[in-house]
Amino acid sequence: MRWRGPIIAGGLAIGLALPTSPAAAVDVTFTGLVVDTCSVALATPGVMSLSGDGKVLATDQGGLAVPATVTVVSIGTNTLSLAPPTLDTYPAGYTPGGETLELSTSGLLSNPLFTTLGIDGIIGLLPLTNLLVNLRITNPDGFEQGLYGAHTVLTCS
Amino acid sequence: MQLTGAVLVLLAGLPAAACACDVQISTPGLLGLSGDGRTLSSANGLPAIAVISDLNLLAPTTITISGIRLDQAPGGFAAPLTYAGSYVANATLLGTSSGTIAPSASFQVPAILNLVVTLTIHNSVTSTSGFPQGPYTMKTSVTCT
Repeated sequence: MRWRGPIIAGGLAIGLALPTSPAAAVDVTFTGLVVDTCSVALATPGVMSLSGDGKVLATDQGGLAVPATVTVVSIGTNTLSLAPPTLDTYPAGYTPGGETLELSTSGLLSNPLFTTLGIDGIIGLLPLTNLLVNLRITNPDGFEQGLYGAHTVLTCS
Repeated sequence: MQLTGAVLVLLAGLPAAACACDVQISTPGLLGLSGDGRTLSSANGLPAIAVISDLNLLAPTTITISGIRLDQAPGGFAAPLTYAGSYVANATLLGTSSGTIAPSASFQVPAILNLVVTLTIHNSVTSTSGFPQGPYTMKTSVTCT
């Protein structure tokens, strides 16, 4: 190590055989607090299509059907939770109650089997990562013509 | 006569000055998490500042900065860690000096009357698996001999 700057040599430099300085040691402390953070964003909503037998509306049937894509960023340890899905909108001629709504996920959380329950997973440090969410509505009585909408609530905390 | 008097006064004051080497922490450091969550560093917070005074007047003083370590972490945190650090030393009569710490750094300060060295220290610790929520404390030792 070299000093950079004006070295003034006019200081006191004495070479007498006097006692030398004892050692002094001090611990320098640094403190920090890490708080878990997690952010989620819906990149693309899912699109459902009807199965050939007319009894299943789902996002995993190819064609126009696509799963919803959610982007997740996590610092620290967080729990990602998807609530059981619910049916929001349906045509006037459709009577709700006979259908079963299910979820499955892939990507960040791999739960390939559809379930009517929610899905939970613990995530750690995570850069921007995709979570794909599939939703399936099954009704043995089939579906009336019209627009259907369903959703799940995703939380990360 | 005047010169002799000055020397006598100076020598009378030497024993006290020669036997002391004082390190004071004027500002503790503050760690902040990097954007990718993998590095906890004072570069994202505040550096620590140490003031070293009452240096040896009979010989150069060696100042050593070493032992960067994680002193406190949340339970269960045992990821492989990488430490790093840097310092900048300022002295009125000498100017500025700087360097890296890991694993240690040392430099000499010439014997100059009333010299005060201000040491600005940065510490950081990196974990590829990130840092769980909770308080963290890092320490670094500053020694002058």
